[in-house]
Amino acid sequence: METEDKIIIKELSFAYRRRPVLDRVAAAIPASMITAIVGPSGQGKSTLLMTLNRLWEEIPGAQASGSIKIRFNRDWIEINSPKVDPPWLRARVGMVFQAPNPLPASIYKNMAFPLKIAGVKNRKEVDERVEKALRQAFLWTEVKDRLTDDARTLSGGQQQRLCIARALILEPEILLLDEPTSSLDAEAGAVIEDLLSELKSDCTLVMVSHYQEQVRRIADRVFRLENGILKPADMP
Amino acid sequence: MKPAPAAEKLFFGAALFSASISLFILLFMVVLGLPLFKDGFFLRLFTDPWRPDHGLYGISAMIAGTLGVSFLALVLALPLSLGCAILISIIRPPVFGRLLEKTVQFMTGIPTVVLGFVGVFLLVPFIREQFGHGSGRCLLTAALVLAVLIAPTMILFFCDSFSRIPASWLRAADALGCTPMEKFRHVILPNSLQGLAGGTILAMGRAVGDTMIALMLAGNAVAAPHALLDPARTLTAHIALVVAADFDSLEFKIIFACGLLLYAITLAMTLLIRGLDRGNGGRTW
Repeated sequence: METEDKIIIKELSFAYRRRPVLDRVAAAIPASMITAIVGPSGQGKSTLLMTLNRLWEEIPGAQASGSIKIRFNRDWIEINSPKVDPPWLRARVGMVFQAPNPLPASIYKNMAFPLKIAGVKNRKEVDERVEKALRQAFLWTEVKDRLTDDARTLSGGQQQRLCIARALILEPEILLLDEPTSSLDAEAGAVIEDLLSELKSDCTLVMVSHYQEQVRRIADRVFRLENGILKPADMP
Repeated sequence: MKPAPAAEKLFFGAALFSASISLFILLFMVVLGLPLFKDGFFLRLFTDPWRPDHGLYGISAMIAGTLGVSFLALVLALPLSLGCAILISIIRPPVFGRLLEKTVQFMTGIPTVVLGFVGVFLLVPFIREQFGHGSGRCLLTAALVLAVLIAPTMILFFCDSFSRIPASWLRAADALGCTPMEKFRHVILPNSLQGLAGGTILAMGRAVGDTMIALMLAGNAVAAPHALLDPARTLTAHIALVVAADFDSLEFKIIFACGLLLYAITLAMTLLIRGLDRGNGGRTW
């Protein structure tokens, strides 16, 4: 089945302290699929993810050029345009990191935090969205009776699912995942893989992974990044 | 058990020596101030006025002067320091931010007598002319210059507290769509409060312990100040003035009471900072 593109990258170059990392990268990432980016370590895979929500701008000494267009609803938006506000973009392009990074707050406050930033004040709505996102992340039944506990008391796998749920609460159209299972054991990793497979019906997933088996199990498209060049690759 | 290496012994000796000096100073003040502890005389220091010619040696006016000048300096310096620290650490304008940080670092090394001179020649006439009241040497003048003295310490301490926030928390806030100020308000500030309190207490200690600025700018009148333009005498300035004029009278011995009081204030602030440090773990919003 032909799918629509969600992200179109053209001539994307990136340098960190004048050292080139990405060299005129081009790619089209399909909507509602899991796209995996693979390649050797230190080649800029995480950097490529950070160009998709402009998180690279928070890194001192980083420079990027080129075009990244994302289709939000039916409109294509050039995200590197100065008219695009990075916080606005990041609320629509969620990101989950290699190591879980819950904030030093309760599970509930971690979940409600993005809504607070987005200006959602209605307590009933916040409660409903917290529950919905935690259910999406297969976490609700495990934490529903301990929402006021410090999020850092959860296991590593639970913390990572909490971070995924926290990213999902703003209902992003794209979710970027930077090696989301690399700090977890096999069992916790398998739960995350099941979760990601479920999520692709609601949003476009772009994932960096080092695990060939994982890519084979859950990815729909694969790109290989090596020496600053991104190329479509066969399933490993 | 293996013997400690020579370097370890040397550092241990140096630490022991430093701690001994501090205790020796305390002992020295207690021994030389012993006559003050007889027949309830010590308590009268807090109730009597300072009139040595009438046998009254109260230092309450100096305590009030010290607290007045220090607190006012702190009130003036706190928002200024917080603003500068936010500019340097959070907003980070590329050139101006670095320039401001270097300037602040440089300011920590300016001798207090230089600040006192600037105060005497620029601020004192300005205050005198603006308010048309008194000599211009008053609580406000001293507090303004003391605020300039303590602000760099506070700014650097605040910047340090902000930089201790784990990068993963900041990345989480960025990725969730926080603006820099939202990130500051919701993530950095609530988790830096102990550091901010520590920096404020340290600065307060510096303000309480400063002699030169208070001596040059506060006016040194032996009366508790009731208004910003009233002159004041701090405990440190009082010690300096008495030492310069006397050697072996009861009046002279009073400075050991002032010294003990300053020692107690400094010790209380140090313990407060240590208490804050000890409680700095596992805190949540």
